[in-house]
Amino acid sequence: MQRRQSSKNSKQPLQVRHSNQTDLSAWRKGGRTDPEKSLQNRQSRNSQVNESKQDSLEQAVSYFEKVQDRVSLKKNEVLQKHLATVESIALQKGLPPEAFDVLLNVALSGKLADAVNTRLLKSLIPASVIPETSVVSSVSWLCVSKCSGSIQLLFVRWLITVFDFIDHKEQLHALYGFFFSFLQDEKMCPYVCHLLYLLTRKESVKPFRIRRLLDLQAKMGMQPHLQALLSLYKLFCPELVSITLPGKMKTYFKNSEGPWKAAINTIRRRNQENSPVSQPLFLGTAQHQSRKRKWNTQLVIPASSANTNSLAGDKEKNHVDLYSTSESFPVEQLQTFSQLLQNIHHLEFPSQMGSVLTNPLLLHYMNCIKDESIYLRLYYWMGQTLQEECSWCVVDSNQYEEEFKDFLETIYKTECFLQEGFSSCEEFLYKSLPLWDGFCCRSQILRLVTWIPLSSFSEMKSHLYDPLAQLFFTSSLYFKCSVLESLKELLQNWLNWHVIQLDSESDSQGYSLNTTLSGLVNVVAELIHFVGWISTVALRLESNATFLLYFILDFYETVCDIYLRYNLPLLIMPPAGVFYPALLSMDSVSLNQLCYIMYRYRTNLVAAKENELIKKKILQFQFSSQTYQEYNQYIIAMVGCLWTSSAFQKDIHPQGVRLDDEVLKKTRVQEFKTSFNIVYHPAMMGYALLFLQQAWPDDNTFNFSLIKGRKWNWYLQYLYAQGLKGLKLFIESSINRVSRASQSKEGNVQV
Amino acid sequence: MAVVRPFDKLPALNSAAVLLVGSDESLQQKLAEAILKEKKNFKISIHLATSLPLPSERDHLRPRIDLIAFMIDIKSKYSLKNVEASLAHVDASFFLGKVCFLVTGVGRVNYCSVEMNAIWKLGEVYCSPVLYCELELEGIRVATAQRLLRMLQICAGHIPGVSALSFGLLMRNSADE
Amino acid sequence: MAEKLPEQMSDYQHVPPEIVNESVGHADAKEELLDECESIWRQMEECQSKLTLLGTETLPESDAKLSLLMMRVKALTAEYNQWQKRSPEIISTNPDVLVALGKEELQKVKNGLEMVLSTVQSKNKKLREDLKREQQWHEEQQQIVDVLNGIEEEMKNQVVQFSEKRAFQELKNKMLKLRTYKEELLNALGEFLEEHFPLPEEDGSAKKKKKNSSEEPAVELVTLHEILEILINKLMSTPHEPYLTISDSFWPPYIELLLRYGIALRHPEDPNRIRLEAFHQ
Repeated sequence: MQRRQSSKNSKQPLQVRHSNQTDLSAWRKGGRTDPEKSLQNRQSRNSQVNESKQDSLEQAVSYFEKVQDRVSLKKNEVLQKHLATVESIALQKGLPPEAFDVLLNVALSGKLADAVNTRLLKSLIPASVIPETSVVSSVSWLCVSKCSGSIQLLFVRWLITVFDFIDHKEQLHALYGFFFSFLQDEKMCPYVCHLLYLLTRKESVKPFRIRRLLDLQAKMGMQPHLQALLSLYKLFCPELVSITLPGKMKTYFKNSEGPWKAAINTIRRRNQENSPVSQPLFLGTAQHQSRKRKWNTQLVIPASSANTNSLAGDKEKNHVDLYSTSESFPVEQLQTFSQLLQNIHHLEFPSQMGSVLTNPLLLHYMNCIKDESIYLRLYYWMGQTLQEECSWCVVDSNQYEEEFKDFLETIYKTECFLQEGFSSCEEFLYKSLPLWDGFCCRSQILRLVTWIPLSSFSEMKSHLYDPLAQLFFTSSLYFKCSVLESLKELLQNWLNWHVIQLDSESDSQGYSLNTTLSGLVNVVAELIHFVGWISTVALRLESNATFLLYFILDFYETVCDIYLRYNLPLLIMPPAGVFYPALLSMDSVSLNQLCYIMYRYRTNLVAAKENELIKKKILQFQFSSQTYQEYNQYIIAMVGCLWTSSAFQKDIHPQGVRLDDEVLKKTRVQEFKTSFNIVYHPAMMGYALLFLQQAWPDDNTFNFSLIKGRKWNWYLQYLYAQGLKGLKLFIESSINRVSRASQSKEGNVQV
Repeated sequence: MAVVRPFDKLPALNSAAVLLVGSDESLQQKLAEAILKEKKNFKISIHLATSLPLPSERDHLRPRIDLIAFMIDIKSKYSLKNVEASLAHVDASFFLGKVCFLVTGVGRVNYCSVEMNAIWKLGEVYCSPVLYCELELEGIRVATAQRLLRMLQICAGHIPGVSALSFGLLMRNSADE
Repeated sequence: MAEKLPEQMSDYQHVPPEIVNESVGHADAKEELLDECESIWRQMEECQSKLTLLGTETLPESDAKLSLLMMRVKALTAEYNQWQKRSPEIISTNPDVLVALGKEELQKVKNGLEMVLSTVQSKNKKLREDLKREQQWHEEQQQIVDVLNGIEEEMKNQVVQFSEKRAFQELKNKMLKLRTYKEELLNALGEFLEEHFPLPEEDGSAKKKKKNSSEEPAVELVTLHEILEILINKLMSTPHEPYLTISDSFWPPYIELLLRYGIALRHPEDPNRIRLEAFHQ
């Protein structure tokens, strides 16, 4: 391709706007008298040094602006000096927005040797933002083929790494087709795919582009980067991309962070240290008033709204805006809830999706719109960030760990706000849980676990349950309880999700519901069985600790009510390893909790049976007769213990408390039959004692057998008054008392 | 050469012994200190070895070993080789729940020179749990020490109703069921 | 050997309870417990003497996993049988021992309940906060839904009021604007092509080479501008037959350029024919 001349100097391909602050001359003149200087004087001790550094960078930049063709690095000491200045300042503080235009121009114009260009590109580390105009003009240099392939490649990689630092993206989007044409180049292809992945919007997806991608794929075979782009296209326009693509991919793109990432992070951290209020990670929120591009300003990723400026420009020129038909409200200006309400129909998301996380207004907005691509952008960004930052316990970096914790916390809060688990977060958990030590970021990780989306059991088993079980069995009582709490919330989130699903699908066909329903039932059942199993083991390991039992029974308080409260046809009884320790526990809290749970099981089972009778049709999801059988076995044991004093004879559960009289006699307990009724039960004896003292204040013999007949009823009232509500519900529902007046201890089991 | 055996001696009353085998002695030392600092209601003896077999001349001084923890550093291929070589000097019945692999350096997965798959496989073949940690960080070291202690208590028979064998079964990844 | 293991394990799983209160009256209790310990210890020694008879066994390198699994099966079966055979053992009936044990248990329960209490309190606090937060969330979402419904209503009204005439007028305006824009674009493209993609100059080096290599008579070349125009018109006027035969009047480097950047496509069978990429489809 030939060009009569490089139009680079005579004509700018795209006009530089005057309103823009990024004009180099303005910056240079204003440098010393800038009213914003007070900002940087905050660190008065360093300001002197800063000034001189600033001077030398100014000199270096203006040198590069005027530099002549083909200056040799070896021979030219001036070049050496200025290059070194740029490099050292870039590494220390990052470069100001104003410097990028000049440096990119010189690096890509091919004026200097590749070695110099490479060094220049490598030092393009932003202190705050990168002006879009400088990126656009540097892209135009690629057109002219003035720089070598390796420099082009380095530039694209740089662009990917600093993508989030570019202050606007609208004009960059206009260059989509240009980037797309670079797919031809085999070396560039993976990186260009990555860049396009970042740039793609729904309107970028065109049939001819899909054809081109498919052609490329036919030529080069299934490449992960091509697949990534194709799957994104498919997501935006499923009707246009008919080929099937593999589902979940681990990583689409090679890490292209190159030499910049580490430096960017260092500068970010340094800037945070210097700022009076430490700013949590990645939070370029709209509230951030300081958009001043100064040397020392702290790094804020802009929550820039995309196309407000270009719109104004278009109108002047009387162009028809073909893409967006209505004016959009800049998100930086979105500060109050009422503003959100007024502008909700013309809002646009910021180019940096991460800034959404801490902005409740935008989260509200996100909750309202059904645009998949917004979630996709968020997931993509989050996935990348988590993957990069994942080395969570890097030695000697407490601050780093704190930042990471904050970030995880933020994600958790966002998930709570949107009532939705993020797939990128799930992937992160699945990747890191098997290697987790159970200590790092413990509470954050366990919280994120509560939002793991429903997925197939085999996946959950190997990625979640197995690693969690190993940690669970070897860790402290406290850890065990935290895990149980998390799993309870996970269960509740799944169930809530199901209820919402039911609400929104109530008018759609039943058949699609059933297929998903059976899957859901299975996955939920597996979770409950898993918790039952680890609970049984844990009670054994911790010798039935009260604290642990409380958390286990708390889990079953949700389980026992699934049918009625969440409308899911599933009831699973606790395993014997949980039921019996609770029934025979030493404290009334657990016993009372167990009574409540059994009462709810009964209510749910009765309701299920009634519904079955009413509908008279065979439901796909009947509770298995095993559930009823288990329930009845437990009830027999419970009533036998607490009421009829016959558990040692009548308990029919294979793991139950049925014992031979021989053995019982060996204990030398006189009235062993009554040992676990509501008077003698170790959890209840305290109440019985206090009751005796109240009823017979003068009697000191502690004659518990006095509690019978009418006194038995009084005693019950006394227990109810002590707050044993679970016991009350249980006795009133599950024990049929023949006559309240007579001393009937006959229990009657129903269901 | 002396093969380490799980039941070659009578246990000492109210005590338990753990053997740490690994090539990084300073890390071993730190872990041992962390274990000793933990509160516990039994006596504990910690034996350190860079590799197996143990010298047989001091055999009579050693108590019965209840648990062997093989330490592997993710950053050093040698540490893995060393452990693999040492495994040959362990009596087979030890692998019925009284062996675990302790993988350290997980905080630097990015710098890992040992194939994670190889470690996972080791746990597979020897039917023993693999614990991941970062012993260079104090917090995690303490947490890991606590986890080891819990396993040791079980292996020494201090938890009623739970044998090392049945505990080992619980700790298995069920992927291979 | 495997069969022996579980025996021994269950043997010393009973850590004797400690007697907290060691006054003279409890000497009997202590004696009783010590006796029990002694008898357990004797059992242990018996087992140990059996165990020492067993030789060592290291794992074969080849099939370590299989032989280990076999051992496990044996050992687990033995342990299982052991549990099945076992009948409940009664703890001491000595009242002193029982009181000590009971006190210990109650102390444990007390500690546990204290932990439960503080957990429940902090949980309640968190629940209250959550409730407050979610109520606010709900209220705000409700407001948003109301506003959106309002907007929908408004738009519905607008649709009703929309007169056909006005719609026509608006469409006309739009068309007009689009036409001007198209003009502008075409002009800009024309200027751009003229400036950057001129015809090769008569004595241009590319031309020379060509002349030297072949004896063909010189043909009047057409500009890139014209080629593009022909391609566009072809595609628009005869969409079923968008192909164009490459003639000598097309300067080959330009054709190559169009093909390389995907602006034009070759006919799948006839390399001499090209068409414009269907950008609009």
